[in-house]
Amino acid sequence: MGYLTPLRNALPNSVAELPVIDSIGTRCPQPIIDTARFLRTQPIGTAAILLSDDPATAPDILAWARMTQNYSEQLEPAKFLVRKESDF
Amino acid sequence: MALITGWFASETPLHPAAQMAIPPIFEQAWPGVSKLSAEARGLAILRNEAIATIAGHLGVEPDWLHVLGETNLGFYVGLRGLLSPTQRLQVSAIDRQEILAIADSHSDSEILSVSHEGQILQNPDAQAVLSWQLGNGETGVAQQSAPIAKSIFVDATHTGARLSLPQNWSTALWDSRNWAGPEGIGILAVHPNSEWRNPLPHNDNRVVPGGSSTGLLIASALAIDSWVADEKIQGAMISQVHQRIRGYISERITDVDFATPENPAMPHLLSLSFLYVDGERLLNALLAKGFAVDSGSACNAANLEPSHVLAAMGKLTQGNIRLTIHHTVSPDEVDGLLNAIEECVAELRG
Repeated sequence: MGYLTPLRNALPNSVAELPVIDSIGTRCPQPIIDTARFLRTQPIGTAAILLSDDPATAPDILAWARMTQNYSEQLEPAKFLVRKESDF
Repeated sequence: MALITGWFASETPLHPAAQMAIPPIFEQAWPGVSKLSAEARGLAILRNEAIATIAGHLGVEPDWLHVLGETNLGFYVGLRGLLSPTQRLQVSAIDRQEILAIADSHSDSEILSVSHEGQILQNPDAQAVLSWQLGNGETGVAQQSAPIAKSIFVDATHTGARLSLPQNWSTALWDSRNWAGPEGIGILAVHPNSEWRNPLPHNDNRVVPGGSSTGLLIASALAIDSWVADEKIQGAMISQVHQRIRGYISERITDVDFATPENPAMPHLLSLSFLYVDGERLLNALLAKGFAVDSGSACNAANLEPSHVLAAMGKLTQGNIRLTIHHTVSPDEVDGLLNAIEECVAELRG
């Protein structure tokens, strides 16, 4: 996870330029499905912002990252940083 | 609606031994047990025998037991009664909502976080009052270390006669439904050396103002006798079924998160979550194939918050199902369930 450090140091400026997965208003498991669908089409290393106001997203995006060997982090109550680190 | 051919939901039918006994019990169980008639005295003897039977299976003295007509009142009476207003209360993040509500209403309380396996991570406070969950009703997890605290309330409402109390318990609560007994019988034990005081307004030595049904209590005693006998014969089979379901699903389905750890303290429970699956749709799809299970997911409009137990353990909350393996389970039922889960998950993932 060493290459995450520069990314995290660059926050929050770089966040503005990241692609956004907008799952506002959808319920679980849709935000996680949206995230997986987007990142599957992207090369490893791609980061994105997931917007989701579903209370299940906070625990589930962490579990998703653990299960699929990707990265996730909650930035704000309804805003998450996700990053593709494996071909899942 | 399909006929239910496989029952893996948490509720247990009343044990046949209790069911058959209920009509004759209720023929006798109408006088007040404190009255002086021969009928009342006969019933009082039966009631005492019932309490002694239950106490024996739970590993406590009959004199320490109080029978509650409302099990959930026991959380307040058992835990709050140990707690002075200035004392610290420690509860675990996977405790029941009733316990978390008591912690929420107390000025000095701390919620102890847990590992992915549900084990409490923080060092206990030896001067605090601790709520100690003997076994978790969603995941089957029990704590591996012994509790340390000044006073300990043991929540045994999901364990029944399966697990024994820690040595230093102060108060403990059970629910009769855990041994296929009737609903509406809670068993509260108060250790004589504990610093328990009745937190409810009272002017006699009764723990709760309302009584409990003597008929149901006797039925509950018959149920626990039979349940313990069943468990002796069927316990190993339940562990095998647990392993079989776990092995089959691990092999055949990808992206599964098991909330129940390997070799859990209570193998009749198995909680698992399927990534990218809607828990409520999975529940309904299984129901349509004749299989009843429970879910800790929050994918329905009535319940926005996912299971706090799964969230606290860092487990996937979506696509969750909880299987309860009952004594009555058959190999055909398990085969059918496994096929149904495999088909439904594949369909829902599309």
